[in-house]
Order: sequence, then structure tokens, then C-alpha cells
Amino acid sequence: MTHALASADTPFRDDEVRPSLSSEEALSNAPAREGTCFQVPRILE
Amino acid sequence: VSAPPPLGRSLTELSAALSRREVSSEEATRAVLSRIEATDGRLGAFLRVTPEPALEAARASDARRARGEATSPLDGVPLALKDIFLTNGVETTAGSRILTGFIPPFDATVVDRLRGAGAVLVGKLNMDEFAMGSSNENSAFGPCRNPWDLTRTPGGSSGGSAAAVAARQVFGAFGTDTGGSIRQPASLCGVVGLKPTYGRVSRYGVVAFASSLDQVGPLGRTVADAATLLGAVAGHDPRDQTSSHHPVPDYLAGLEDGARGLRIGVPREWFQGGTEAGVERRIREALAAFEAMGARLVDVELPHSKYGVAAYYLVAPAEASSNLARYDGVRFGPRAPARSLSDMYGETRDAGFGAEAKRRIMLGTYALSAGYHDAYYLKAQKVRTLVRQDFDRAFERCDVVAGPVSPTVAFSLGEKIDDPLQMYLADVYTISCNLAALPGLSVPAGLHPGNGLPVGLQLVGRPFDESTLLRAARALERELGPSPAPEAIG
Repeated sequence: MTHALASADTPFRDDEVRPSLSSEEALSNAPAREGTCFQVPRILE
Repeated sequence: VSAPPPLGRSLTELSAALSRREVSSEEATRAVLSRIEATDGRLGAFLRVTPEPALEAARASDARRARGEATSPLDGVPLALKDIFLTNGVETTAGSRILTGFIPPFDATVVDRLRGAGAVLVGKLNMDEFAMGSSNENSAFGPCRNPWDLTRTPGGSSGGSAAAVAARQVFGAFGTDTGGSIRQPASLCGVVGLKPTYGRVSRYGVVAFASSLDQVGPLGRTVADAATLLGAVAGHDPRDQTSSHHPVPDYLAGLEDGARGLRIGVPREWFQGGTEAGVERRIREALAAFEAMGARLVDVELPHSKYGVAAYYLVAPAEASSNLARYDGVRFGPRAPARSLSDMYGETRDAGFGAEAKRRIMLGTYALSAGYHDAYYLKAQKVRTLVRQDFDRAFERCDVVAGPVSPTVAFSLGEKIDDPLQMYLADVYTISCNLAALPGLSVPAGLHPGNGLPVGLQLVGRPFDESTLLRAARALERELGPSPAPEAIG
């Protein structure tokens, strides 16, 4: 990479489980859902 | 003697009045909400106003104040945000139809920090779709107008942010700047706008346009206002891996140190006849004012800046085409009805994106395609390095680089919208600062001698040296006075 960030160090952290969005929050804007999944038109006919 | 109405005050003055308990946050917030209601039908700066949560936050601030627990200079100060910052529970669209109805389940880090500082957030500001544009005309939700002349654009993409601050609708605002989107509208509306060094402010929860260029920054009526706003949000954020650990100084500390002894670089390439005469006159007068204040003008060269616009329109669309791939109607935003998944993607994106977003997705996809990536994207990244090296060399001889922000004053609505190349050239002087990841600022440099519209002086600084930019801008502001209130909006 040849841009201005080239000198920045790569940040590392311990691989610890941390809180993030709940399924309900993550699905709250879904145009269509089924249970805890995003629903989309069928892929296989 | 009664205190002047709160809207006549700068953020800094309001903050002092709040601490002296001369005015309450609720009074200031009610004044702001009435002002927005009275003016925004004509201005179009806001996409959404949130009076109830704003008044609730104002009353909470007043209660903290009464207990002697005010948390910061922003406690109780009404502000507004470009609609690119995710706000928990408040619709966020980035000016795009494809995010209509999107209610973020979390706050951007900037929003989180502002709430923590006690700021009162009154609403979300108009912008070019996904921050792509220089006139705010690419908003899917209607144009924003320039408060100095309602037939003209406020600039963009943070047009609503600049217009709202100039029109005294709010005491300060935040925008984002990818190629000039804070500085250019600040210049065209007569306010102070600062794009910090890349990595100075967290981008977590900010809708991404071009991730190696995007940076968050403040717009204020005065230099001190902008300094206070920057101080509230700057600093490392573990949620943004590009945010810097560089220590955050007190941006108000050296603000009044004046221009004496400053070396101001004047790049030959920014004064080669590309700027409208009345604008150039004000810029040259500002440089002369610096000299009169004891600064020294130094000729510098930025020989690769002429490739800036070309390189930018490869890097930015390439990154945008990747970032915008997420808008596919699956997880958020409206979904077009279709029988198959691929039709659904296509129809959702066709209906959801405006013309400029589509143009940039196509440019970027092409620049990244197999066989072209090295010739376009990689070459453009190499140009970035050369642009940065030009600045590094210039900063061996000067402390800040100065020139115009925009080649013209505010242009008319409709004037450039059908000519993308002309629109792109509105950012000819601002883009190299983003390519080089440097801090840049626009400060009012007086009104155009012919048409009375604002002209902004651009100052570009060394990495993480926002303090020197602010100090130089403050020196000029002290000499010229801050920009007056625009009369067109009443």
C-alpha cells in the first residue's frame, strides 16, 4: 500500500469475546426476516 | 441590562453564558428549535429535527448545571450533525434513498462523545448522497440553499452543516471531509470548517464513502468554536483501527498566540490563474494581513497537486464502489420486490442510488477490475505518495500552507449539476490535503468585492498540527473579524 497510512502500526488486541449488538438489534432494520435470520428471495429454483 | 438573545452568541460565548447561569440550555435549545422552524422551510439545512430528545437533553444539562456537575464546555450547547453519523434510534440516511427508514441501533463514537460531553443534539443535516458532491444537490431529499443567497448552493457535501451554522440555526455542527466536504461549504457559507489529520477523529459509526480519505471535523462560527468542537471528539477509539494514538492537545491553549514568526507557505501552483479574480484578491489580502502581523510568506511548490483531482477520482470511487456494496436490500433499507435474489439486488440498488452514486460505483468498479487495477488504482495511490512528499518538502520551509479553498464563491443551484467534471473541479484546491492525510481548515477571509458572498482562506498543516492551523486562523479572524450573519435568510 502506498498511501499516507503506510507508516501506521498494525493494531493488535487480545482475541476476547466482547458485547456487541443483540440479534434483535441487528435484525431491527431487516426488510424481511424469519426467526433470527435475514430472509431473502430463494436462490435455488 | 438583559442578556442578548442566545442565537446572537458564538458557541464559546454561549458556553460561558451557560456557566454563568445567564441562560439555560432549555432556553438556548428552544431558541434554536424556533429558529429552525422559522427558517428551514426556505433553507433546507435539516433532514430531520428531533425536538423532544433535544429538550430532554437540555433539561438534563440544566439539572447537571444546577448541581454543579456540568461535564464540559459543550454541556447544554445545541449542535447538529450531518446525516452521515449513526444516531441510536434516530433515522440516518446519508442523503440516500437506499437508507430511507434506517434506524441505527447504536451511536457513532463521535455522537457518543458529544452526548457524554453534555451536548444537545437537535437534528440531522442535509448532505450530498453518501457525501458525493460539492453542492448538496445530490441529496435524495431536496437541495439545501445558501443562507447568503437562496438561489445558490451552500457547497457540499456537508452543505446542510455549513448552512445551519451560518444561518444561526445551531451553535456548531459536525461534517465529514473526503475531498473538501467540510472546507468548501464552510468557505461558501462564511464559517470556519476544519478537516483534521486522517485518524485524528474516529470514523466508527460514520457511513463510509472512501475509507482512506474520510475524516470527521467541526464547523463553527468562530475559530475558537471549531477548536472546542474538535477537542470534544478527537482521540483514539479502539473501534476504529485507523484512529491515532497521537496525544490530543488543548486546542484552545495557543489560540491567541498570533501570527508573529509563523512561516506561511504560498504554493505557486495554487496561484496560476485558476481562481476567480475577486476570490483571489481576498486571498492575497489575507496573505498580506499575515505579513503585516509579523508572519513571513515563503514560496513553496506542490508540483504534483495538478494530478490531485485525477488521482482522487480513481481512489475515492474505487473505495466507494467497495463500501457501497453493502446496500443490497438484505439487512437494512428498502427492498425492491423481485423473484430472484440477483434481481432483488439489482432493482434495490437501481431504485435506491442516485445518479452520482451510480456514476462513482461504475468508475470505481472499472478502476478496480482485473487488468486495470494496477494501471488505475495502484497508479493513483502512487500519486498520493508524491503529493504527500511535496507537502513534506514544503513543511521543511514553512509551518502552514495557505491558499484558496474554492476557485469561486457559491455557485447557483443547477449551474454545475449536469457537468460532473466542472463539479469535481470545485474541489481542486482541497483534494490534495485529503490525499496526503493532512489537516486543513477554511477560515473566512472577507466578502467578495463584487457580489458580497463569503470567501474562505485554506490553511493546510503538518500531520496532527491542528493547533498551528487554529492559531493562524484565529490571528486572521482577529484581524478581519468573524464573518457577519447572512442577511438573505432573515
